[in-house]
Amino acid sequence: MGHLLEIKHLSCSFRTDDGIARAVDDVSLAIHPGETLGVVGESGCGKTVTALAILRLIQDPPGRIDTGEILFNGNDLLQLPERDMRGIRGNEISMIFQEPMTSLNPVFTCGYQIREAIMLHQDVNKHQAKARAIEMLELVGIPDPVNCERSYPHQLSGGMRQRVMIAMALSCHPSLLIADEPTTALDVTIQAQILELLQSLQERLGMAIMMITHDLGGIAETCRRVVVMYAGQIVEAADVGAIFHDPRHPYTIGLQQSIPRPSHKGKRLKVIAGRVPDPYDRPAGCRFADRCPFVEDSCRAAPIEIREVSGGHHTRCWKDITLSTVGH
Amino acid sequence: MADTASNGNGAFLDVRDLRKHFAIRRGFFSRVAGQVRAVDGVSFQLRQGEVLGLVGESGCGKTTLARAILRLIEPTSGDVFFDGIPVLALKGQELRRLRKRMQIIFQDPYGSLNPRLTVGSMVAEAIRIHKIARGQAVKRRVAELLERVGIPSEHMNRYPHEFSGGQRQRIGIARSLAVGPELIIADEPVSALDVSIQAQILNLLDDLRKDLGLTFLFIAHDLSVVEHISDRVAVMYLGRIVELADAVDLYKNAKHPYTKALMSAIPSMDPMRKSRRIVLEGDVPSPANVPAGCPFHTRCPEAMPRCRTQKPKPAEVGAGHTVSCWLHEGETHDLSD
Repeated sequence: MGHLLEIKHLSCSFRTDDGIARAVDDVSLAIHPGETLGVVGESGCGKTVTALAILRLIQDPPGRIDTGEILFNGNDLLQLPERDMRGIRGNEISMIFQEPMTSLNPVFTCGYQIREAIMLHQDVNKHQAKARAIEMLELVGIPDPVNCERSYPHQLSGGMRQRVMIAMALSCHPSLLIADEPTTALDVTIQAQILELLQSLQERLGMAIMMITHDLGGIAETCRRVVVMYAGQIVEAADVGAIFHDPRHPYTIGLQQSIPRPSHKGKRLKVIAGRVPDPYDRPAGCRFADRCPFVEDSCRAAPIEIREVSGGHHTRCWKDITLSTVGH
Repeated sequence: MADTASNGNGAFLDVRDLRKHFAIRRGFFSRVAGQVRAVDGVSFQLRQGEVLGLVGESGCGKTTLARAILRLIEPTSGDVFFDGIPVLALKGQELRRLRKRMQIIFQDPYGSLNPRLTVGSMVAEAIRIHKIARGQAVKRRVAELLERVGIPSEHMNRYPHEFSGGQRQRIGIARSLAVGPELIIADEPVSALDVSIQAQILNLLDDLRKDLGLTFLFIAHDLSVVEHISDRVAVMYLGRIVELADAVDLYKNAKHPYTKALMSAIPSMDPMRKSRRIVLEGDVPSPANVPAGCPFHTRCPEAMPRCRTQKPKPAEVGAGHTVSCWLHEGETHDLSD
């Protein structure tokens, strides 16, 4: 089966007064139709910029896509004229954002905003669009869709707003949904609702999801493959089972161990010392070297290439570090 | 210290039936149109040296409770005893003296530091106001505090924007420690931080508690964080504590349907475990319009007819484990007897 989306050697940078920050550095990944790919990393690791690059939404200046290819159904999105790109955004690829409050327009009703997307991309009249909007709101589990269609965003709770965002994103039946931290701003019990909703919608509509998150825990139950990013690079990519049970990059291991767990109560949390390197001044060798407990001189000498340790499991670490190395 | 604790049942902090209602005013004459019952009858006790975790979703009244205890806002009714001292009766000098002993750490390390002051002068301000040290001694104390929380003391002349989120939270902690408090209320101290930094701050708080013998009220919405650091955990919903138990006991043996749902929402680190999640229907009701009967009945998967009309009282279901739920009425004795 071919890839739905394939990113090859993507690099993006931002030019500011402080210098040039390479936010995304040689990122390659692929998503099959209908699968969920998790992209995990801390703030500033480049996960959101990667997503924005797919939709060509990086503001230029200061940002710029330097090199790479983004193949969607075999066509390079970076080569498309802006006109064709508009036919893809919100139609074949759509995105939901972290903040449901700021990503809806406060002066239009929810229904208007959903209709707008439908009428832009599909050959329907106003009445059909409205019926479609109500149908979508019902699909995402809003109790009173007719009423919600007429409501303004401020009249809805955070969880409901995120449902409206999802309804809008799915209104044209995209084949890829990019979900950028869709539950981070929501309460715990509402988070569970939204994750459940995304999963059931995926089963019904069959779209692929690129799930961007900082929360390693959240992806365990939702994703099939996981990509871990650090300081603009992919440091590990593997099936979800391997990421959790046999991680091979010290950063992934550290990330996992720093999450408090009931079985470790009373013990000190293992921490990743230090902090993410300054994006304007990253180390020449391994970018994790300053925080890595297994660092050697040769780690700092030259950039580390990503390598395959077993079928489909890649790591950007030349050493053979496993959970047993760290005494798990 | 303990011998002065005549008014607080020997507890270090004793909160009794604390309420904070905000009036909703409408119209030209600002008549009172309703009440937001942010904190609605909360009672608990805190022993010296203990960490009590307080969990709940946004709008459940955790932050209002924290501020009402410290009198950063005035509670509507109830009692608070700190080391036997009736906090709500204090005024002026006496209140200020007490403030030295009770401090707060805020959630937002960006908003809670003054961007125009160097971090050194921010920490020094607290020392000077409470006349803890003078002259050169102030600077020495500031350096010592910064080092204690892991900030190199030579950075004391820098401004907040020069630090990362985790470092700013450390500075906020140093400022709270400056006056030598005994009780610290930490209001979501790690929720704005990245996972790897979160662990660093949790370890720091744990060290401080051991080294300085601090007592903590630790507020968070993340149950796994609270569970890790706390001795006991209280679960709050719509202005009330619905369950309170020993942390280990609560994790293994949660009784209240709301606690169970929260527990099941903790993301599992095992991809093999699929969906034993309890997904609650609907949203948290507005605290301006709290449902009659048990406030949780609108979302409770196990609601019974009586839950709609009768409010359950906290009842003890095990040693130090109280729960407000009709489901556990049979196995209990009523605490109000």
